[in-house]
Amino acid sequence: MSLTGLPLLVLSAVASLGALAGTVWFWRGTAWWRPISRTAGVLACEALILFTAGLVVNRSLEIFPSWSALFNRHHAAPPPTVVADPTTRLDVWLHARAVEGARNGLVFEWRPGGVGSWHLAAAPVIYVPPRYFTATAARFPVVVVVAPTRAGPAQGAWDPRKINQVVPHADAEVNPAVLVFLRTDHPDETVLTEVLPGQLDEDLRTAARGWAVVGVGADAGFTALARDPLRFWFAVAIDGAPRPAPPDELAWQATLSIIERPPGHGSVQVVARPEDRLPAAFQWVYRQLPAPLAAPLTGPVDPNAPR
Amino acid sequence: MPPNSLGAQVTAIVLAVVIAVDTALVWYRVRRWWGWLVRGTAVLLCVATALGAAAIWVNRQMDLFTTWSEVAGHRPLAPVTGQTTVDEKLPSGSQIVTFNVPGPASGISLAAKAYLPPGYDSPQGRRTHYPVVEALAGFPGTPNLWVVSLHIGDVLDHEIAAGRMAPAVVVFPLQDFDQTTDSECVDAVDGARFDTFLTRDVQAAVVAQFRVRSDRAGWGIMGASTGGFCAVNLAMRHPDLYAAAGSLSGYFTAITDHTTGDLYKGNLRLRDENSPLWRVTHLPVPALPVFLSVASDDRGGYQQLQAFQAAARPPMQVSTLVVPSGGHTGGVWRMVLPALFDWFAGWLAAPQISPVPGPVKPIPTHGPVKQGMLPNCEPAPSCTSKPDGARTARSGSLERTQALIRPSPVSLRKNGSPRRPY
Repeated sequence: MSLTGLPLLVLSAVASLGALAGTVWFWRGTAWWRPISRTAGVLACEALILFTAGLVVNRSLEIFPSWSALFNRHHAAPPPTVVADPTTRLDVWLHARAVEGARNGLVFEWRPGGVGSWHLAAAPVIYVPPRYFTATAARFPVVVVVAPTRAGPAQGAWDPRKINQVVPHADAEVNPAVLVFLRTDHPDETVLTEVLPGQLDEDLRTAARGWAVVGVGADAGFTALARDPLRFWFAVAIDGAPRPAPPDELAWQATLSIIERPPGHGSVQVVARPEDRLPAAFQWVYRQLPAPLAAPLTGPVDPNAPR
Repeated sequence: MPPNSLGAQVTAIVLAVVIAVDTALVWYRVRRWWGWLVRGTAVLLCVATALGAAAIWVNRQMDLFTTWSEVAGHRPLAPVTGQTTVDEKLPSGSQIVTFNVPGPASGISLAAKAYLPPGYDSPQGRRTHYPVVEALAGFPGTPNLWVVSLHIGDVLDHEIAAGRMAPAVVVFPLQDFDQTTDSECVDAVDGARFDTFLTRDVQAAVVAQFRVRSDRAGWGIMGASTGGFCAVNLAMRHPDLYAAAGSLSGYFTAITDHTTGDLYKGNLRLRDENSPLWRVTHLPVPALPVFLSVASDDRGGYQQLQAFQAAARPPMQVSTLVVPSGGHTGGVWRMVLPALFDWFAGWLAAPQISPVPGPVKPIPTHGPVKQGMLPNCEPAPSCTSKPDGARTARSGSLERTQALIRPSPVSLRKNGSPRRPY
């Protein structure tokens, strides 16, 4: 009989009236058992009237739709959600370098399949932060840095021979991210927003959201925001021209233009010497990124199950 | 013996039974003129004890009152603004604290509770600004819903320890003056301004009293039942303040009834603007990720969820989690809370750690990447041959020019296998 159904309500009301009538009927008398029957009658009336009132309220508010909900038995219904640790193609290779990686991170040239068609001047270089080697279930946000082939520190880019000077080092001080350095004079939007993320997701434990693009003298970062707004949240342009802020309707995105002089309009800007611009870009981006996280639970969890 | 304890429940039931027995015994023993007075008193006591037992059962379900002072109508005592009192310390090191929200913008001043994550008072925690989730209870309801009924501290500790959630501060403000009047978290016409209180004032008080992020990227809002309505409504009305919103068994159409009073004084436009379902169909939609959860046997809530999900459109991102059964109860919310907090963590910015104050350390100089290992090259000449000057043994001997500078990840990296790792 449904907890919110009319039959139960009617039955309870009738039982309440019956208990009331019975209590009154058997109230008089001085036999030894009369006090017992009177006590039982009073308690039965109280319980049934309160139960009936509760049914009326519950039927109105639909708080407990079933007996199992009332007795909190539904918690055993859904199975515990089990999430397997992620596995990616570079796991074995990185695991072999976990000792040195956990200390200072790891930088390596990345040559995924089809990289020759990405129109890059050199193979992408990846920086994997130290925490990647200790938080083995976590997926990390990614910062993609794009610069022209010949751009160096004087143009706001990096010296390929001293790339470790620009990557943030201490995990304790910043929120770690995987960095991908690209050299190209002709940024390919499809590569940046579709091909590269797909390859990187297969090779490393990367987050599905919260990526950033830092473009040195390129529009690539800003076009990425528009092409895949769920993945790319932040863009920085390091060049002489300010870039527009994302449209208001994409409020989780943010942009920064790092330029020589403030133009008086546009998005957030920082005045910086050319050699300070890339570190400034990283500093800004790292303040925005989500944390590296293990795969989330996506289903209900039995609160009483062993965890 | 607090009013939400098992002891109070047992005492109330025993008292009801004793009064019933006494009534049965005394009924015919008083035959003079005062007999009717005694009998009348006995009946009233029977009713009172029965109602008391029922009220305590309801209170145990909802944890509305945790002290007899609150039952008597006194609001929870708030510490002086700027100070916090520790209510509970959990084994993980996290804490539940009480603080005051002075509310200069709204004119409302109420106490609130907050969860501080493990490590909040550690040396690194003192340099950290945490993301915040604001959690609103239903009506009637208080922060005890989260802290006492749902054991939210344990849930948060577990999700943080599992790495599925970054450490965060969770704030539990009061959203009503008392348990008989539902504010609906709106700025009532000629009435209490709870919208302003829960957004501007709570954020200002939390930022001032705790080490938390003050930017939109670091703030989310959630709620259960009426609190779910409040969370989605406030986030849609203030998308500049919240990066994400979550609703547990919430509804999406503003209501006015005998518990709310006339909040809008006949201003239907204002009432519509406080209805998320109306907003999502009639106004530009903010870029707001929204998490909606309900039990499918909670018919009203399920219908509301379906209607909102059908009406939502980009750039709003709607995630739903429907539990098969459980009704409109804390049992459902307890099951869904871990997934909700995991979802929040994916949309909120990470804790922001300030650098250690002190002398600036020079950045180590590293060797050229080009001289590093090419780990995922095909075994080809371009990959296997190393440039001149690169190290060739894992012992780590450095070339003279490199030995003058500190070793680096890059220089250590150089001696790995050139084999393609996949």
